Amino acid sequence: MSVLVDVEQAVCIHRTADSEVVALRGADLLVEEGELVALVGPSGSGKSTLMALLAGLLRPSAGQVRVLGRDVARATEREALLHRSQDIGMLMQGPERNLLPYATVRANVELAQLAARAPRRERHRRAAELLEAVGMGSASSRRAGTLSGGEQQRVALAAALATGPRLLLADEPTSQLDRENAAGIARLLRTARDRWGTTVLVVTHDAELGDAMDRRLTMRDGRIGTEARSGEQYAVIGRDGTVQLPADVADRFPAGGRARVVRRPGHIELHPLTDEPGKRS
Amino acid sequence: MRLLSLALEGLWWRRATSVMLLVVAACTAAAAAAAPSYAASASDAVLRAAVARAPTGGDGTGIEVLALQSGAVSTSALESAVHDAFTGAAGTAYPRAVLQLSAVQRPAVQRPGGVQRIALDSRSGLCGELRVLEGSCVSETDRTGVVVERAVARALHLAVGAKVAVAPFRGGRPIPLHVRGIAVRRDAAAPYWFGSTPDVGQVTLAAWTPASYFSAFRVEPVDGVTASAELALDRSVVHVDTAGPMLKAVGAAVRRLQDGGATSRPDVTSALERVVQSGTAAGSRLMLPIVVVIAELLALGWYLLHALVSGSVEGRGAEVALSKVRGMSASGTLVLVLLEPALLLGAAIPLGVLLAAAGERWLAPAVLGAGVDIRIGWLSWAAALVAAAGGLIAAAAASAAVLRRPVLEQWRRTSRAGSRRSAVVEIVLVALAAAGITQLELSGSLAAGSGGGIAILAPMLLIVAGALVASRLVVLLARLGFGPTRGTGAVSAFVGLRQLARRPAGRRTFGVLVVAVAMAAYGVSSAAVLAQNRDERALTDVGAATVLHIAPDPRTDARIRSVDPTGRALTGVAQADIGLASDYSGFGTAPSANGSPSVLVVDPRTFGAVAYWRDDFGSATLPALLKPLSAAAPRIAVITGTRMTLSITTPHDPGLLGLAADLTDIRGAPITARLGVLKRGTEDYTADVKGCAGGCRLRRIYLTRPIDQIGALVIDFTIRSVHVTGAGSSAQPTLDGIGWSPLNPTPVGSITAAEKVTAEPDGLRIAVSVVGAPSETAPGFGVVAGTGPHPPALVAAHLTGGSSDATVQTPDGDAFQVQRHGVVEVLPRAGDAGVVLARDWVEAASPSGYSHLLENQIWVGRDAPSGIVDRLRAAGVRVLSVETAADRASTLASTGPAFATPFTVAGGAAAVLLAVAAVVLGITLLARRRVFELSAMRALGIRTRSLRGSLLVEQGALIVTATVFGLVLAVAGVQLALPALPAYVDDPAYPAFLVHQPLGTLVGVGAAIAALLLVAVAATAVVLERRTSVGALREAEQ
Repeated sequence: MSVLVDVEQAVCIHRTADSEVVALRGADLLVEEGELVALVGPSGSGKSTLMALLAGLLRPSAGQVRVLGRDVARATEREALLHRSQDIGMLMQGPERNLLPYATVRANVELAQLAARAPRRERHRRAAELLEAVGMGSASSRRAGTLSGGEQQRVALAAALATGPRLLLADEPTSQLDRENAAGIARLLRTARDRWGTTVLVVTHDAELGDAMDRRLTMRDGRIGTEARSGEQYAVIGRDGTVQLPADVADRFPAGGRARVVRRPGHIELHPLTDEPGKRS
Repeated sequence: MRLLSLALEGLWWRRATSVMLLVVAACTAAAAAAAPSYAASASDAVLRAAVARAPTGGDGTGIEVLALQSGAVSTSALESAVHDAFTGAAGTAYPRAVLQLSAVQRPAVQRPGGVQRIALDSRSGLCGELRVLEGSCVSETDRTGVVVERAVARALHLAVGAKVAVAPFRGGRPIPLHVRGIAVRRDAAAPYWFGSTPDVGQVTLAAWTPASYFSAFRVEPVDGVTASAELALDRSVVHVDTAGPMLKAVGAAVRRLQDGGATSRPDVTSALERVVQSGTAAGSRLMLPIVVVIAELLALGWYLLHALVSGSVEGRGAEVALSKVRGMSASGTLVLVLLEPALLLGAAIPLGVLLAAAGERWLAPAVLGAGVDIRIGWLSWAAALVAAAGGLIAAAAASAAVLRRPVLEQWRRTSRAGSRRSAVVEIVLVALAAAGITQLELSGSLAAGSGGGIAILAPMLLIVAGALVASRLVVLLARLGFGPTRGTGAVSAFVGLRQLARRPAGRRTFGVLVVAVAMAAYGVSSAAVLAQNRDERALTDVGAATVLHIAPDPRTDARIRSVDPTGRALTGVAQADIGLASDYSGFGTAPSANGSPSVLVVDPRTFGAVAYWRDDFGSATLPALLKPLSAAAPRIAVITGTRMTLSITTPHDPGLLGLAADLTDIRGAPITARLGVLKRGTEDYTADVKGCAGGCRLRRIYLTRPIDQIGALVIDFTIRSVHVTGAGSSAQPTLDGIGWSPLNPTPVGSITAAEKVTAEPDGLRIAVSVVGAPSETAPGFGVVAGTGPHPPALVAAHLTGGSSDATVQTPDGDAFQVQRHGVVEVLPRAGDAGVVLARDWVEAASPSGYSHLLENQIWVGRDAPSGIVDRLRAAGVRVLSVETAADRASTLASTGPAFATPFTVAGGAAAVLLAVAAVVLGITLLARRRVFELSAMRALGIRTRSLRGSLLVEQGALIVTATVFGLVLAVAGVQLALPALPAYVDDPAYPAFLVHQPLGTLVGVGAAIAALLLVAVAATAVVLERRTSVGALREAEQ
């Protein structure tokens, strides 16, 4: 399988009027085609920034971000637009960010295809197919603003998939949904991968959604920390050799303290030095 | 198509905002569309009013073609020439010509006090224009018949059948003319009469004869017989857009007439070009004020559109972000965002034009007068298009920031504050406005009375600059309130002031409110000030609240006093125009804004109470200024009776000398009493003076010599007394105190030296020395009565003279010295070039008689009881016409500059409507954020009442402060500019323009606007409050 997303030592600094905020501090990420990946982490850990980088909405301050083989840092605005209109689908947090409330369900799905300059007939066909797939076929002529939160999110997913993107970026797709609707969205994301081969990268706080993905990456302080696959937890080793320990493990090591590294056959042991003079335990 | 469909769906989805935007855009387009059509209609109305006010004759809009007759008298050649010149001249608007033959002849026999000239006119189509009251109209074959107008017949006591003989043109027997009928004009104002009025003077009998009267003559040019063609303008076809072509066509026709005639070149008289140019110029003076008002409204409208669209687009930030996320191109996103406002602005163009047309058609009859044509031409459409285009540019500018904003910022709603940039823009604007006002001041455009229309820019600049400064100031004031309200428990005040201080949108709304209130208050105040000055000018022009033009009658004064014994409501005035006199030496001839100088001969005891007077007209009140004129006039010798006897002592043999006395009756008609031949010794000399039963003035006593008496003559005689008997006699006249002077003050003809006149104990002694034969220039010698001290005069400033004595000469020919006793800036009715004289003094000084002293006007004071005019009529006063200050004010209100006032008021009203929209917008556009804030505060436990109070404090402070600033700016603007603006078409230098602003009314207007805005706030707040709940926090969080 080919690598769809390749992020290497990405640094992203947001500049505001008064200060600079470092959102990403050398994040590394590899996503292969057809994967379902969840990015989890506390607020401010850089999840959404990373997603914006992948969508071409932001440029990295340093490092390299390649999506579908394209270098995001070097892409022009026009190329970025083209990129989003053809290859990337986005599902944002909150229905109002995904849908025009005054437009019909069908129009919302077709609007996404307008930028891709899809023929009208193709737009109709694709919209009908997607709406059927998300279970909103019967509501195609209703205005998006009149739908419930769950319905809106399903329509939003259909809209995000309207251009047949190879990569779907979803930011908190279940944040406003009840458990049942959230589970439905998780199923649909998987369906998108299974039916249309779309690679899915989800940013979420929702543990259940994270668990429903193939991989769950945890972000902290602007870096990808640990990774969980099939119920097992992994620490991600950065390209510069840094390792982010899982939070519960990291708590056992005092900040600024030192750990003794013991190499064993087949594994490596870390031992915190608790009796070091002048250091807090 | 998809985007269009989406835009339409979006418009419907956001219908409240869409309607608001449409209303603001339509109002803006309407304001713009109204300007050209209003300017055109008002200009048209001004031109038509100017044409309507102008005389219909050759001195106005008519064309008079005059051909001096030579040989046979006929109108046919002239008629043919006029026909050839004007027929087919498109647009000349002269539908027909009235042909007239005229001659002024002398009566064959002069009667004392009777007709001195007879103006005979033959007019084509005469009988159809007359209503014959007695007798009949003259037939074409009746060459000695005349028809006399009723007013003339009454004045001259003519009846049907009366005979008047006129001298033929060159010798021969007198021609008898018979009065066949007495008639009135069917419509004296009809173009047929060419502006001529009935001649009720006593010197000319105007009568109409048939053309056959003239056909009997062959004349020479010196006979002064004229044929004329009078072409009266069809005023109904004169409009601004047709006036130019019409003038060209008329000019061409006149040239054809003058160049192409086979006969002598006719004289053509017309003031049409002057009238039209004056009307057109007056109309054009409307343009600047209209443009300024529209510019202000457009600026407000565009600003509101900018605010509205920016708020709307700001609210659609998620859509913009979505569009970018979906990969839509920049142009596609722009279309998605701007298509909605563009559609609304597009719809606003026809809607605005319709609104403008409807509004103007509704207001035009009241403002511009009935019959004014409101035409919505391409200029109105273009103006509406420009307004909409400006709105679209404002929308695009408003959208630009949102379109440029990165998606992530859009999602995070971290818009960058542009306050620093806007501060720079505001500083630049304020500096430019200040520089503009300074430049206007330095260039003299703001000087009182400069009349430069450009001064109208000053209030606009002042208001804009003031609004910008005030909008910054209000933030500072709000910040000052933080401390006192913090920690005092006054949550409402604290929150309200913080909202006011922190929200840039509130500051923008404040600016809009200041401008709107200032515009409305400026409109109201300027309208009130101009109306007041118009009334002042009208009263000054007319002289009093009402002036009745009456037929002169010696009993007028008695009739006035019978109706108004106190003399506080009525006063009789004799007004004479002295501007046409060839000589009134002693007074400077500085050009007067009022045209010809006038002499007002008044009763100083009542004139001061009735005439309009203002403190700045003179250094004191009018009664005080008239006091010197009330001093007792020199006595005059009045003979009342039918028989007069003089007792004369002649010490030496006088030879053959006739004794005579000249008198004038009360109408001014001369009467000569021939008292017989002078004898030696003391003798009584008696003569009949039948015309003096009502009183005569003894003017001269003199001796005459037979024409063949050529020897030297030295004689003295003493007039001892005068005695009157017969009907009407009661008190006996006295010769004392009359102020007798020599009949020949300088040697003339045979008189070698002036008569010596001395008052002796036994009478008036006259000594004469004469050599040679009697001459026409000195037919006799004796004494003249009535020369004493010069009459005191109150003189207007423009009649400046070096000496205190001056000569006044009236058109009647009387010239007499006057003594200047007071100089004033303005005289009622006479303006800045006039003289007021006391009637008693003028009677004493006037050498020719009473004729010009008979009151031809009665002035009615402002406090006169109603119905006083009817009572005057009932008392026998014949009122010819009534002139009122109210009518004059109404006329002034239809001049060019005055028409701008209603537009300014309407502009102010429109600005207030826009301000209401601004207030509502200010709240609704921030509703989402406000809902979040209010909900958060509610969640913190702040009571609903406090939240309501905070909104009230915020909006109330905003509105009240803006109203106060707006009122102050308006008052300052009026004070600054109004004295310099042209108020009337003619703009005389008097009366001085007063700026007494109606502060009470302005406060009322401000309160009404504030109340209206607060109601709008309350209504919006109610809607907002319903959406305020703790649940909204979650929505806002998302």
